[in-house]
Amino acid sequence: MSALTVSGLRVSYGAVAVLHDVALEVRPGEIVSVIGGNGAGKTTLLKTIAGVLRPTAGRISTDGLDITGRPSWWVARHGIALVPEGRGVFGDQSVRDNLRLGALARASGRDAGTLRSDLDAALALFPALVEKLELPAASLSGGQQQMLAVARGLMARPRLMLLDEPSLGLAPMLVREIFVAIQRLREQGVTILLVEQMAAQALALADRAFVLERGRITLEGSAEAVRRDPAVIEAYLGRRSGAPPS
Amino acid sequence: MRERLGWIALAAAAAVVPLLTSNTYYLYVVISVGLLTIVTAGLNVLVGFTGQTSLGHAGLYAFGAYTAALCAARAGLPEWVAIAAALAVTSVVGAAVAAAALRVSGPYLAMVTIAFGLIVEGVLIEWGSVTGGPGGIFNIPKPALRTHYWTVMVVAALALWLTANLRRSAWGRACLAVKSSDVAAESLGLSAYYVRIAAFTVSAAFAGVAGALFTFLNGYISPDSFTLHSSILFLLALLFGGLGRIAGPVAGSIALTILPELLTRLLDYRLILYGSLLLLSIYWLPEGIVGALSGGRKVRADPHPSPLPGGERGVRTFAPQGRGKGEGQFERGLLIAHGLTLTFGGVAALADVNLEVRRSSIHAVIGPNGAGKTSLLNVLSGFYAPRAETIELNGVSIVGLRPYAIARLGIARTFQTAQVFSGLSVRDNVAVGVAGRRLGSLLMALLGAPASRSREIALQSRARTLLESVALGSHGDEPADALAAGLRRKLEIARALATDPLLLMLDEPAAGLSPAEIAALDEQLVELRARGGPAVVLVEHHMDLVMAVSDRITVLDYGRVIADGAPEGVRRDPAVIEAYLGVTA
Repeated sequence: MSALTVSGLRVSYGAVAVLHDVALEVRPGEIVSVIGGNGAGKTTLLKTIAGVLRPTAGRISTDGLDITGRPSWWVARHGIALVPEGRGVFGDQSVRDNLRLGALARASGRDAGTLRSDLDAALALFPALVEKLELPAASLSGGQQQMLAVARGLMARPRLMLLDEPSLGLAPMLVREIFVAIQRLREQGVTILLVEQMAAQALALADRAFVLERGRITLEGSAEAVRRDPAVIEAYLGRRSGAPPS
Repeated sequence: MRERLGWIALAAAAAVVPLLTSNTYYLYVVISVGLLTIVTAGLNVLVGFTGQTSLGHAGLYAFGAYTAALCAARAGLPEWVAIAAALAVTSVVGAAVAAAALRVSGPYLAMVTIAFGLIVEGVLIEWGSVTGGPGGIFNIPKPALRTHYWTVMVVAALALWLTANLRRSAWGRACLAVKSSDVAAESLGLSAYYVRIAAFTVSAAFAGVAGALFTFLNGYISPDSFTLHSSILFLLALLFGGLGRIAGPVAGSIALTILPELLTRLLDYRLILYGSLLLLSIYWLPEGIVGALSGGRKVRADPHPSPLPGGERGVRTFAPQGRGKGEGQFERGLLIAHGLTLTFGGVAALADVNLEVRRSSIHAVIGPNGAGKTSLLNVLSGFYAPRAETIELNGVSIVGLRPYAIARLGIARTFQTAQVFSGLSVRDNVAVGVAGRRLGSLLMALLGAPASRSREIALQSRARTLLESVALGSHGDEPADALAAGLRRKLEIARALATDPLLLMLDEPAAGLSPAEIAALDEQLVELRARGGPAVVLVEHHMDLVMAVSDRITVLDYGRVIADGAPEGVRRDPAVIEAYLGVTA
């Protein structure tokens, strides 16, 4: 049984088709990375899986459960957490309340004790949030908001996390931290579909990878194989892969 | 094409009605449609284009009607003079009301305008010696109904034509820009307040003319016609017809005039009918009748441009050793800021920050998340008011200036979360920047005057060139909000450059860009400097980009400058490594 199966997926904005017959599979416990240029449709893909957008054709399922065309709240309650690009934190509410709201989507473990220990676990991944717990999320810097968004996603206890450019706008030290945090998530058994511009880091972490170009999957394979592909090196790895090598 | 046919059919229908029937009732109904069209066309400029809601337009309609009535009945002036007087008076009143009311916006503005409408209604009733009190003004000399029919039809057509011209002009784009993001509009030198006043004034003038024409329809007027219900009807007609669409006012006016007439037996239920229509339009016609008919905006099906051309040249054309010529040491900086301090609720976002940016240099500002980098940009562009000893741009103090004023002095910027103007095409986004404060005459824009048009051509061609410079040339006609996040950043850079700034401040321009796109950004920045373009303040986390292009780097941590100097020195600075880099970059 796969954590996520997408087949024949088509999505359009009005008359413009953004995704054409996209198919991919994520197996439980894997980190799967999707790389591709701007406008390739990566964000659209994640939004469609999460139920924010409706596909015009195709099928999406998780653990054998068909979630195609279901509304986003329903998808969230069935174990898929989207950490959107641009964070989308609730600015007027405190960091703590943002995290609590994240737990709304969880299927089990809603008692106070479990919530508290999950909150502590989420904060352990992002210690910078601890001193900000009571501040409104809008007062956080961009990078801290990004951490909050990931932590909030975790509070849903998802089986599958969709991460849309988690490194966006983070300082080099934090970029390393966020990738370390993703690695730790995997160790905790969370399956991850990761969209990243920092392709080198993403591929170093991932088990498998897909290359999305102009709405089509042009390459797929083990992260190792994708990383060695000459076209990928030319287009996505280059020298400019973002943070300094660690 | 279909749109043009629609207009022709509409004009033909208006022309045929008086030929087919001598029944004054039908003429009366069509005239009512015309009057409502004129008011809602004006309201469209305010609500549809500029995004501000008024529930007090019946007050302005009343000003027009009473002005015309007093001119014609009391002073014995001819009709056209009365209409002109109504236009003049409501424009002035509208501008005055706007100047006071537009200190607030959104729901507060709606409240203020309701209050205005109620005051006008009250004054009409109480000030009997002038307004005739509750009974109103009688015996106004009125033209023959057929003549008046033609007058109203011509004015209604004119009203629609004027708004269509406005929408296509620099003014129209400015209105939509302010509606979508007043922060971004101000950063391009537009005063959101001023643009809103202009829009309100236009809408007031339209309401005034319609009021005057209403006076000459009946020959008498009374306060009953100018209640809050009328204001609501105006807004409802616009929403129902299609907010922001040129044909929206006609469609809504036809629907809301003719439906109740068809259902006169249900007169008692008129308010229920209006209420239901409002609900119906929100659920089923979110874009109004016109939006539903045109089947949503057609997006040009441009094939996606290649995001990553295979032959990308990752070549650096300019090495940092070219900087720091001898005289540079004595030249005063383009931007000099001393002692910037900014606190949020006791927490210092900036503490005694000094920054000096040289002409045509690239000056990076780096630091951990939350160090105050974006706050610094917000202070320099006037969005936050700091305590500061000096902030000078080109020798001119900019302390305490509003964002649009600072933008006009030559500081342009981009935003960490790109603020593109939705509702405008990609090219029009840039055109807003090209025009900046120079919107030209509002009257000429309304009239679509040739001078305005030739300016427009120049504007658009400049916008096209700028788009090509950031490789967005093929996206020009797409709606800006359809762009992927990384492309929005590029659009913002083009839009900021369009203002011909002395200083360009970029807030994480490389975030979300692929390595190849970052290489292109690198080239673009270096080329700007080589051309003697604007100085650049670069807030960025991609250290290899920062190290490659910067002439100077300022490092912030907890709102303080912890290092400032050439890239080589900063890279090895132990404090910077400790706070930010983690390991040597």
